[in-house]
Amino acid sequence: MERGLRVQAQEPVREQGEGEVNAEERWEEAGQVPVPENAFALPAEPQGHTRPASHVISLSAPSAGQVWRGSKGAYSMVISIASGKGGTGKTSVAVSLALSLETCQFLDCDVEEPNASLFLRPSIDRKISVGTLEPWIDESKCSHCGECSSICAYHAIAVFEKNILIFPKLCHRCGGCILVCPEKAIAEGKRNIGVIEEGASNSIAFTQGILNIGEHMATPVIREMKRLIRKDMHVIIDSPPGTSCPVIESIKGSDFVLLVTEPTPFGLNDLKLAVDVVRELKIPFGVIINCDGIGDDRVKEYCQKENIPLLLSIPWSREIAEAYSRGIPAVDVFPELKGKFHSLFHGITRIIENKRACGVQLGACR
Amino acid sequence: MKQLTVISGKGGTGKTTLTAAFAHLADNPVIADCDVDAADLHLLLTPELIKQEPFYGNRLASIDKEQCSKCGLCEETCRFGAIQAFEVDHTSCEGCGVCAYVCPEKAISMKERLSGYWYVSDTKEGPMVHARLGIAAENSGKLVSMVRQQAKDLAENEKKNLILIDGPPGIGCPVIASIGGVDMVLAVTEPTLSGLHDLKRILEVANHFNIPAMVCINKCDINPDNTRMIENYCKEKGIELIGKIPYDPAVTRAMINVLSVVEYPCGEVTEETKKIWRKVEKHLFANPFNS
Repeated sequence: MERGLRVQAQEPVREQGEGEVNAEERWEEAGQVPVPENAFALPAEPQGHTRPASHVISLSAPSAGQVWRGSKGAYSMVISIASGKGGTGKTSVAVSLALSLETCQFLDCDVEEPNASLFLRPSIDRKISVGTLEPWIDESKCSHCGECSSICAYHAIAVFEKNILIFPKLCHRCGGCILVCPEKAIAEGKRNIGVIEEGASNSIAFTQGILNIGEHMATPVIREMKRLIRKDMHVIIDSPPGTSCPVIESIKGSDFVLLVTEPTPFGLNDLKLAVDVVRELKIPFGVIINCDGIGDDRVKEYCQKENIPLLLSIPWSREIAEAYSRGIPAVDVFPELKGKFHSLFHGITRIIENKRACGVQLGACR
Repeated sequence: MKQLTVISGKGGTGKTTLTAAFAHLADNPVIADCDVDAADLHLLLTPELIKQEPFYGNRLASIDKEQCSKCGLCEETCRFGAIQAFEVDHTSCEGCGVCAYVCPEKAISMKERLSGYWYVSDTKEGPMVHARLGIAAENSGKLVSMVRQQAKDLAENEKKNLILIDGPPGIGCPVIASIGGVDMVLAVTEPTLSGLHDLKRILEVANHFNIPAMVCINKCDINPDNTRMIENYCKEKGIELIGKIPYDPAVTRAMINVLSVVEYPCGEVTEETKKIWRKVEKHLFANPFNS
């Protein structure tokens, strides 16, 4: 490999219930992924900042309306990229995977700090404002009985003898106050909390959400975004960091979650937390180690012990880090990485197929 | 008593690494880890647990199958899609209680949900309050507020003059809960397009809540052009850039050795971090009559 970059695609841990696999179906060692007829030829590509249309290279990579044909029938998949710890390379991996697939839908669900557009540079052609409902009170009808305040679990309404205070940012728009108001004095108003932008970057359908400054709740924006998930192509979801509500909202209903980590004590600790979450959600998952070589081997040992498929290791490279800083995806710096992402995708397909063959229901988000 | 929160917008820029170093340099602080989603500070400060308390976040709907007449009203009324086939999906339920209100059979009750734990510990750098959010639990903002309140009580009881807060990434509810009412935030960024983009948003958040902010750039030599861009941005906005830390693989080695960058030899990183702390301290404890 040029420039001494070594990327290892690890042999995935065999899933239970997996039947016989023929040679073509097997997922081989690094660089040895067999090239079936429908596979992805990888011509040398020029490095650059732009995304020329010549990126469309594969012969029968999934395209709109023509989804990936696994060995057990055709379907498109929803793959989420999550991490626990921030800054481990979620966006990098998500963008690289999307660029390797060429045709897919990309959802940047990190609505607090969306960054994927810095790499994919999409043209935005549609903006949808996201509102959340909030109670509006007709004070002329209000009898100040306080029912609304007592049902509100979020303390978003305070009723006094002569007036009412509403704290819109605490409201979870459950609608309870409207239901209980005996005077029918409460209506629902709409308040903008963010925007969803849709566009395209070559044949990648791009969607990102942006939460307004000062807003607390990211989940309504993410929930709206997920309604835009398409059925006719693969979907890559770039999730926010952490393990709480915005992450769960982003990855819920995916067919597969890729957990990106770094081989450091922080990376390992947060990986464990993220693993707890995806296990709780019962979504199949695998791990990618980014910046391999900067730390120790404890992440690998953990994955082995827990029987978690370690799907890819991307070594630390100053070139990748510098390219990242300029908004250039790793697969543009090292085009050979695309092959690794293709085999990663094959590996994921295989795991999902096995799960489905075992009767596991996946991909509920559409 | 002063409060400082280290934030970043983008994750992985070095908030916890810097907070641990500050904890070592500061004179007798109370330390609060407010990244309750993915807390890491305890990995560097090796706390000795003194107290563990359960945290109850939102309540959770629970359906009594025997009383349920399967009318479906709860599913129809729930705006979070948390009830399907007369089962409550724990990860979707936001605990509003509307289903319990509409149920004609009174078959739904709202139960307390254990959403995590918060801890008070002793560390070599001082007392620390930290937490762990339950698996797939909600309401990290409320847990952050709990951690901060405990830290404040502790600081008042023990007459400490500083609370050092390690903040979460992002700009949403746990971040807002981490910075509300603090004396100053330090935004740690890196010279990448993502770092700059996220820095701008987090500084807008600080500005929105009227909290004075300072900026420091980590791994500043990864892209000198972007570093200059951040410097110019700060100048334009009148925000002080208080330091630039170069990239050094020794920082990861320090972490592996369970030491902060001021206890483990990290060359220039160590020196620069000390310099940054002196400036932070000066700003935090500046006598307004002197300036």
